[in-house]
Amino acid sequence: MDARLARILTKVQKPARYTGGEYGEICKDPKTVRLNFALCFPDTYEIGMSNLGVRILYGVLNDIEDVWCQRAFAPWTDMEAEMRSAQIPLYALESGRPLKEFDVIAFSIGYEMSYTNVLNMLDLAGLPIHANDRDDKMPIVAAGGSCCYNPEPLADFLDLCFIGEGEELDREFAELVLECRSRGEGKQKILKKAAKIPGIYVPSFYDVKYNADGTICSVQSKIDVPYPVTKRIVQNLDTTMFPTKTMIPNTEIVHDRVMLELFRGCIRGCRFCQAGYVYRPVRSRSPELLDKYARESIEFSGYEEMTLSSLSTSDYKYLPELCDKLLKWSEPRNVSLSLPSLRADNFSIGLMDRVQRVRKSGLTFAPEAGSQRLRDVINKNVTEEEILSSARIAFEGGWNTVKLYFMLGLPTETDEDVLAIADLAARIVHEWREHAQNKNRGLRITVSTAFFVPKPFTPFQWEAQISTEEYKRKVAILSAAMRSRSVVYSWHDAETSHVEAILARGDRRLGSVIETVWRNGGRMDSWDEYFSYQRWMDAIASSGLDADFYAGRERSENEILPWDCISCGVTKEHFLRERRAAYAEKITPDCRVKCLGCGAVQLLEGRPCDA
Amino acid sequence: MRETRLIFSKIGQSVFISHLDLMRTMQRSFLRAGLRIWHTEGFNPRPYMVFALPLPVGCESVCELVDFRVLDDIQGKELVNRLVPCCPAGIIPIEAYVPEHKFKEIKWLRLSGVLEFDHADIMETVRAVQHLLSRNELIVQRKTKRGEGDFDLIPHIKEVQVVPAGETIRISLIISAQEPSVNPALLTSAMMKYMDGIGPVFASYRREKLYDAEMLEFR
Repeated sequence: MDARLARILTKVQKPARYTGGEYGEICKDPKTVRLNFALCFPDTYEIGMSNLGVRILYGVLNDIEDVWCQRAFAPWTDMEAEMRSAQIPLYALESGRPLKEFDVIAFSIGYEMSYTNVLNMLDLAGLPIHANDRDDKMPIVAAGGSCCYNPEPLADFLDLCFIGEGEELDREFAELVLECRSRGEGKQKILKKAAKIPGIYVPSFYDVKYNADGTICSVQSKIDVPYPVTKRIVQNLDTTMFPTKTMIPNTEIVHDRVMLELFRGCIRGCRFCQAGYVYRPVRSRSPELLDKYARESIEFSGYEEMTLSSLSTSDYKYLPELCDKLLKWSEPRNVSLSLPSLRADNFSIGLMDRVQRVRKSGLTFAPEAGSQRLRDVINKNVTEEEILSSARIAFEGGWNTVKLYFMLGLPTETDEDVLAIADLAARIVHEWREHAQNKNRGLRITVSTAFFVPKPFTPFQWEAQISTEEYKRKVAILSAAMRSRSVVYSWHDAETSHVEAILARGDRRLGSVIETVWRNGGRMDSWDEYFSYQRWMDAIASSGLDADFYAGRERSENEILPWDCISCGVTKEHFLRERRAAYAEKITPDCRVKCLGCGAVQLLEGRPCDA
Repeated sequence: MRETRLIFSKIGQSVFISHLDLMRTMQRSFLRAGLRIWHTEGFNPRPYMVFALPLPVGCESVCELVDFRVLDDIQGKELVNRLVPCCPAGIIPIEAYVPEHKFKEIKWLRLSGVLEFDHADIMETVRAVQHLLSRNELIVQRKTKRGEGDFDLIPHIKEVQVVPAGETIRISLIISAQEPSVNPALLTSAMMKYMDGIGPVFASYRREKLYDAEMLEFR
């Protein structure tokens, strides 16, 4: 370890985040490595190490003999200050090698509020933040993750983006770089060849022009490259890598357990949900393989908790069969199973009772809207009776902690819809009074409301976000309506969600805003203690832009959207149909009931969608 | 079920693992090694492990002790050999055996340290450290559960040796391990406070051995 590093680590919080050395970490002999790849997560170690995608890509890339994939995370502010003071550049955990000496630096970006951390990490690495200022001796800077479905705000800073699933894409790119480097080819040549790999988007190969009203006039490709760039998917989840032997942190992280990915995609079509659309088409893993992965993961890791992970776990076709297989060995071994992402409509107490025999935790449901009318608008196909029935069964089964997630600011929402949240919570309290097994334990219902952020690649991608004042007004009326002492109400910060909305549907001009915010001290924006709304608003104003243009404006259905450079497989026509159904307050059936022809199946090569 | 004690080292990058994280890390290492150990029997069963002494973050040790109850008939070298490849970097199991003495009998420990000084006359500094640690009284501020207060180090340190080592100073001494426990950082604080601004810019310590009240090696 660098002696200077050892000196500063005793001065900072949670120093184990910065040392590597975890069980399962991959260390290779540098002499045998021809490509050094830094996988960077623009938030703290605890957040990044909880990301399954990071573990998958780490495993995929390190499986390539000549490639060494190492990790870097955003240092907390105390560590950043010490590093800058001691002039220690950002380094990879495995080797301690400075990131600027790597061949490729790839960020996994899942949240817009981490954009300033991307810039900060590049700067801390000693690299120019602008792609144009980085020469052939510097690493290629790439990004992947869900934010790359609209990568435009980061276009100035990234050399290229991986769109979609990285298991095959990252590997193909790594092999390309190896080949180009062996020929002494520089960055521009690499980028030109990379742009030919399906799923790679190179922002600098496109020119964007704007109309006088600020909307996009045209997008022209400068060379022969696709427009849009279609995302990559893994065709068969059963044949793709799953990280059973992965690094086990020495310090506590957010999701400190085995995460078993059951399937990708979602059959439900909730109209606000980007993930449900961009991860289509549905592809499942077989229960036999999942059982095998689960055993291997538990044996390798020493964990005693496992999460069955997906966008909607209760929709996994083979869930009862899988739980039977898992419980056979997990129960005697004291391994607890957790099933997040349950729907309230096909809730099964029998299933929950079985999986929570080892350790009972709370239950979480996400009705998202308080009234049936609004749930129909957002296509959350769950009725109040189903929610109450699920709660009743849970209370009869001994659960006394329930979390309910909602959103405020959904399209067509009225005050009646908002107050319906309080009514629903009150009815659940009533169910507990009538049916709880043991009332002495008391009841705790947590109602949490998020501020709706319209996202690209959803039927609501054209919607305006309500103002922060309007959101706060709704929070206030809902708060006043929550009367039961058993109900705790919490709400997401309005200002953070406003900035998230600006960035989520932003265009390239926001690059200067992100840079201004960062230069003025912005970093760790996803953390309350560091987020400064004023800093963002000042930066937008000084860039001559208008926050409302991005967040508070209803988009025309005919305008070119910044993310039209990307295709997620689902067609714009499908999104428009769903948008119209929303305004007609009509639900549409889930994929298992009827295929609506969203278009994602075209990404599958000769296989049907597994919905 | 057999009561078992493990001696292990915590060195290198693992010195930055906190005590609480160390407990979790060790528990998982045992599970990885397939070593079945007794779990507590409450609402939330956990592997039962008792560590002898908390180790400050940043301090190395080659004499850490942890007690547990093995359910299978695995002991000694076999247990250590199963555990070694399942531990993270810097955590090295050394020996496993049936304990004969309780942790409360630990009284002293041998501590070694390397002190780094910027722009110092090393011989002069060696003399200054020797002089400091042989005073009749050496008061530092110590944080306890009851708050911060004065603490005299001298009754709780002995057998001090200070020698030059190139551009650094090596120190070896016996300090009180418990009742009271003396954090090595207090030595550094004392040097910073009393050596007229020529205290160490950095100090690293290592626990070498544990003793009972009669200065017999504790294991």
